[in-house]
This record gives sequence, C-alpha cells and structure tokens, in this order.
Amino acid sequence: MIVRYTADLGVEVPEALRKDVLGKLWYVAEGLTGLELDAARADRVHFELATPEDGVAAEARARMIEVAKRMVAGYRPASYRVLAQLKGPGVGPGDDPHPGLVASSDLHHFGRGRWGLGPLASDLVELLESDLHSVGLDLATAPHRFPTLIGADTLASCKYFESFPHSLTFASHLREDLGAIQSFAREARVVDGHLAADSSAFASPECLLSPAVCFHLYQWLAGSRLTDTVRARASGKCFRYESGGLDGLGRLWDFTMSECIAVGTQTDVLAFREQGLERSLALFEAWGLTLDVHTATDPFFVDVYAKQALFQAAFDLKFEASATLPYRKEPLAIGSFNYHQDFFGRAFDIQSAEGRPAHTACVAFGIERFVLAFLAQHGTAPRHWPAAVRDRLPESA
Amino acid sequence: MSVDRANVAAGVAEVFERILHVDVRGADAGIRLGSHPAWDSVAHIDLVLAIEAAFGVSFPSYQIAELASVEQVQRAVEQKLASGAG
Repeated sequence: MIVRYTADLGVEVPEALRKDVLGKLWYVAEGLTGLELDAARADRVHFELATPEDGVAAEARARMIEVAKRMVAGYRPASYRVLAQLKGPGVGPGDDPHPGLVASSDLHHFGRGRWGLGPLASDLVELLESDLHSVGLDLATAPHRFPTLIGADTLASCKYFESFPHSLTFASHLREDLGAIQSFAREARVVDGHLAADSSAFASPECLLSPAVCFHLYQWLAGSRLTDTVRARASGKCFRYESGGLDGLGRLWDFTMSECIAVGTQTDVLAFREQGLERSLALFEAWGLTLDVHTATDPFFVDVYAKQALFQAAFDLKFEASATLPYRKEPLAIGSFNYHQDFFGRAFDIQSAEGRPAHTACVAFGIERFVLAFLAQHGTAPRHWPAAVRDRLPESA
Repeated sequence: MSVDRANVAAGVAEVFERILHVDVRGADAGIRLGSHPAWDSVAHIDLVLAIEAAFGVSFPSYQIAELASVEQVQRAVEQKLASGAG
C-alpha cells in the first residue's frame, strides 16, 4: 500500500530554486520513494516512503522544513546571463530515446545510475572523444591519465566534503583481519540489491571515487612553482550520487567526463576558458546541437548553498552549456566552463610564474549527457543526423 | 528619502573593521577588492553579506563584484537607502 504524505514547508520556494531544493530534500531520510512539489502550492511537497511509518514520516517532514527554510532564507534571484545560443538544424521528433535504445540493445540499465552503452551510442562516444581530442590540441593541452580513485586528503583540500557531501561515493576494502575476511566470505549476501555484511569489517576509506577529473591535476602540481601556465587534458570516470535524481543518461551515478584544464596566471587561465568556450561552440555547431551557454551556479549542499552560489554568480565563475531535450521541459547541462580564481592554487600551494597562487580553469564535458542530447534532438536513426557526424561513422554502424 | 551619509560611512567602516579587520578611515584608506590580502573575493562575499545585514539592504548578484572600493560600497548603500529599496 502506498501512503502519500504531505509536508508544509513554511516557506514558498521560488521557482528558480525549486529544482535545487527538491534535489536536496531527497537526502533527508532513507526510504523516500516519491517526492514532488505540490502542483498548486510552492510551500508544500508530497512524499512517499518505502515502508510507510508515521514516526519516520514526521522526522522526514521536520527535516524537509529545515532544509527548505535554510535554502530559501539565503536565496536571492540570480541574474543569469546568456552568453551564446545555438539553434541546430532541427529538433527531432521529441521522443525520449531511452526506450528505443534499450529495445535495440544499444543501452542497458544495470541499476540505479548505471547504464551501459551499446554500439550506436558507443560509436557516437568515440566520435565525440576524437573531436574533444582536437579541441584539446587547439588549446595546447598535454594529455594526462589519472586514477579513478581519489584520495580523501585531496577532496578535503578541495573543500569538497563541505560543498557536496551528499554526492560522495566512497571506496573501501575489507580490513586486514583474517577473521573479518573469513566471516565476510561466509556471510556476505545481497538483500534487495544491497550488500548485507558486517560493516565493521570494512576499512575506513582512504579513497573515494573521483567526482571530477581536474582535482587530480591540482594534487599532482601541489607545491609546484610553475615557470609557465600548465595546460592539460584528461578524461575519466566520475561519480556523483544524486538521490532520487538518478535518471537515464542525463543523471548517471557513474559517468565519463572529459576536461581541458589550465593552471597558471590569471590572464592565461581566463584566456584559456575563453578559447575553450569558442572551440566548444564550434564543436556544438558541428554536431548540430540546440543549446544555450549561460552563467550558472553549482548545486552546493544546504549549509553552504546560499553563500557559495552567490560567490559563483557574483564573479561569473561558471558558464554552462545547456542542451534542449525535446521530451523534457528542462534542458540538460552537457558541459561547463569554470574559473576557480586562485582557490585551488592556494589549496594546493601551486604558484604561478608570477610568484602568486596559481589561478585555474577547466572546460568540462559530460560525455553520456552530450550523446543523450544529440540523440534526443536528432533521433536514433543515423540517416537523420548532421553529415558532419553521420559521414564519420564506421561502416559497420 | 534623505540619507545620513556620515552615518553610512561610519557603518560601512565598522563592517570593514569587523569582517576584514581593516581600518578604512585610517591606515587602510583606499584599499580595493584584491589590493589587500584581507580583501579577496572569498572575503568579499562575507563583507557584502555583512553590509546587507547591517543596513537592511540587498544587492543583486551582478552588482556584487562592482562593489570593489569602500567608496563604491558607501555609494551603493546610500542609493539603496535613498530609494527605500531593501
């Protein structure tokens, strides 16, 4: 039996804030299986629990009120600027490509936030990666490869724990304890899709699954006294847990990010971001995408949300490329162009050639999201794709 | 609505002292955002939030980076108070 609960938040959530508030409400309690804002009232949400229980519902309700009030209290309307608009040759039939791709074995759903790409999508990924390689060459970047694991110390230096704790994914292993290992081997089992095992057998995590690629480069350069601006490119698997929001290729727990990164003087780094934006617009145009590039802020966690979002907005630190998804009202962010001032330079004690804390910037693409936007806008039949993409497909496609 | 400019100047100076530990009417007169180690962009947000709280005003996000000198902060506060806007 599904029981639908209601929480009156005590504040009206401004429309521009609703997506971020709703995103955070998913984290107030385990077992939330449904959560939505009331269609008519901006101060009310409805939610469902996997195991309906009034006590749990009351606690969830109280936390929702706390989160909503805190986020709304610090909110101020941001004046997002549109920096560029592209209109592709034609937005497609408007269908969600996921069902068709699953039916044709071009997509496989492994579990929450975990999808596998079959031949069609993988061909597109390979073409995209080739084009991003060219972008990286144009930006004079040197190739790098980083681990998928990232040290807890690196993320602490990035202040990631306080900014995005809700999205972290931890990596651990069994403690070097023969008895604990043997017990695990005998007793571990999967219950309702989750590993059921004695948690005291797990070691305290020294690493996490990396939420971004560029952090590795800053750690690599920690303590450096640069004689020139460093320009690097790398791609890798990234992990961001989005409770309640894991949804197809548009919101993966485990996704691929491709980045071009600059570390050096403020002048060089800002020029790098500008050049990265220009080259990216050319790429988007070649792929026939309909999108906007606009100023944006990150979905910081509740306690730091207002101040950090204001900081990003005030200094134009983030530009985002948002592509139209015809089957959805909301566009999808497929890339970002980020300037971090000297935050990472200070955090990792990297000095630029000017002898000051280095400034950094990164141009980042979400590979699966890019592919989703392309398929959503152009459909899944290659004959309808822009020639610049279709003509480069392997013959087997 | 008339604004007591001397009061605003005193209030702004007090906030600078409290948040950044600088004396904008004395030894640190003439400092700007980025020109003093205490007044970097991170501290600037704390400063603006404190100015807003002290005077009961609110600045749009696009204006915040423009409040880059003590004079600009004072002028912006005076304008907000004069217009009666929060």
